[in-house]
Amino acid sequence: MNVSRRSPRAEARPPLHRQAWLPWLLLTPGLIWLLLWFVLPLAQLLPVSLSENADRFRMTLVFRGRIANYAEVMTQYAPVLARSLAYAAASTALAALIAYPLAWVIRFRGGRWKGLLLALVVLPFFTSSMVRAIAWTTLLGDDGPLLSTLRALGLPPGTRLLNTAVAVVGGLTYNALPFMVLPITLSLERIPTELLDAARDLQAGPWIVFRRVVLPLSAPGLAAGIVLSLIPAAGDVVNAQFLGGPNNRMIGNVVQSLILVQRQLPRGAALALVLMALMTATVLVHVRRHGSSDLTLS
Amino acid sequence: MIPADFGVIELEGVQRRFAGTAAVDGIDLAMAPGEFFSLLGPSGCGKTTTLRLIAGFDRPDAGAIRLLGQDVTDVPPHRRRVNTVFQHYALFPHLSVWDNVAFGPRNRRLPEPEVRRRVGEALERVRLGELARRRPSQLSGGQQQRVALARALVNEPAALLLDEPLAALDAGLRRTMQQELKRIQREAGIAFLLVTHDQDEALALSDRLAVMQSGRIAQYGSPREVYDRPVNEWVAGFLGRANLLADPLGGGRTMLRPEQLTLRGEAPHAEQAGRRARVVAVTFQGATLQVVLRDGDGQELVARIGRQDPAAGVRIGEVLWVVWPVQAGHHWSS
Repeated sequence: MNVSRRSPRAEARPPLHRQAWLPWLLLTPGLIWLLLWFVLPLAQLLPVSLSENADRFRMTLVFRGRIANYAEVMTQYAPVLARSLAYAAASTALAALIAYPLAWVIRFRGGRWKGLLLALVVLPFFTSSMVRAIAWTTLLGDDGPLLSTLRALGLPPGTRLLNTAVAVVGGLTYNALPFMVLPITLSLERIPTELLDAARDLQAGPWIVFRRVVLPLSAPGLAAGIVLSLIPAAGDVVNAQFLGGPNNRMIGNVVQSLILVQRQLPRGAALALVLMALMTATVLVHVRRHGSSDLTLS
Repeated sequence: MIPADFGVIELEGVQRRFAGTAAVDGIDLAMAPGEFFSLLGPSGCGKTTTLRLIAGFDRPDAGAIRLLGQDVTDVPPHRRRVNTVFQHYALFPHLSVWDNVAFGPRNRRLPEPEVRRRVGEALERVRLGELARRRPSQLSGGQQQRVALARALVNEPAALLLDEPLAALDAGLRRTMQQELKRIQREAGIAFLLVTHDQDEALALSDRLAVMQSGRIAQYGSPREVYDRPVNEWVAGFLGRANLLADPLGGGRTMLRPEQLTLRGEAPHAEQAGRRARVVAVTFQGATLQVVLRDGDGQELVARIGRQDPAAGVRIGEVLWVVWPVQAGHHWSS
């Protein structure tokens, strides 16, 4: 029985070339989708970003190969770019700090409530991000429940939350939470409890079990969570618009304004591409450091 | 019955209940230093739960656990001087073989040169020195097993706990690893507590063993004692095939192992007992033949005979004498 353990599966497998087309067939819908809605618009964005408005009403574009568009938006909007990245980084870090303990509890103390707890994490996202942001304006408003309570507890009057960086980062953190909790829970789920027993058996106290076994083995989930929350946060429009006021605009707001309000399509396209390049670079560095398996949880 | 004044591991009235039913139902046990001791029983008998209680992964509902004379009932696992070899090895997949073995010594904050010396020694002991840089996933099952052993032994525990350590290996490797276990235990001089459902393994390796059934210890003794003089029919049957013969005058029963029976054409003489029986089945088992017979009362008898035995040529349907020495076997009087 043991001698033949390897061979039956090998024999049952048909020759490789017969199935060679199958992966491509399975990939086709996804590839078509990406081509239509990602590659083509992107390819269109590139010439636009190198064009110039031809008339004073900005109704027609002329391609001029104008690389200066990039230099201009990068200098003019450098503070906004920096702010976007800082907010994205801050909200991602906060989301990780909140999500990890949450995921830990769901995995190790959740028991039969595990599914329900995960559903609760996702539940707020059944409403649109705009509705959530508007709800937060009420919560964080000057006479809203949060500030009233804090004032009653001794917060000096005049302290504001709405239209501050705190509100924007808070909103972004809230958005990022499920994208952090789900992959971390999944990667914690994949750690066999026997490994934790083994660590404790080998003289590891609770902190060392976490530091040397749980954290490294859940790093793929954490890394996936970081990418999944960093990218949407950097390009977010809604939170800065509703919670940040005029002084906390992010790149998304600027791009929106350039394209829809000011009709400066070339500069809007250039800025959008700059943000994309920055995010791609960030993810690439991340993948280099942790390996691409982190993103696929494998 | 239980030597109480010595023991690396001592259990006293240990109980553990899960959802109302007792998985471990009042166990007393004492292991001597350097002893190879086995907890043998079918799955679900409470042997693994007992091991987890000793390691500290679980706490008993009643009773006391002592290590080297000290009560550790409420001591967490990382402060107990025992180490475990897990059934599925539980090697850390993100660490190399070397770092797996160094895990315990580093947690004890031994100086790094001392860690290196010990890890090197432990890997030599299980003959894995040259694979130190590999990841566990790059090793075969047998090699992973050795890493698990080295990782536990490197801590010089008072006792090593082994939870079905050979169950996942195939038959040939299992035999090799049995000998390895015995060699390592002799060399290290550490008490081994082996949990297994494999009676051959327990009989081959143990100095003493305890047979467990339904959360209790049914019998406690050397492999020979337990095999030759089982306390009841269940233990007799669990350790190997047993012929159970009712006394002709009623009351007691006698157990005869298959290898104690011989098959012959002529009637038993003075110091022998025997019955005439018909051969029902003959099974080739490699070195031996197993012959199943039925006597006139319908009683089944199983004999194991060598291939050189004159009776090795028996055929189904033949009627023979099944013979055994009068003083052979084990007698229960009740």
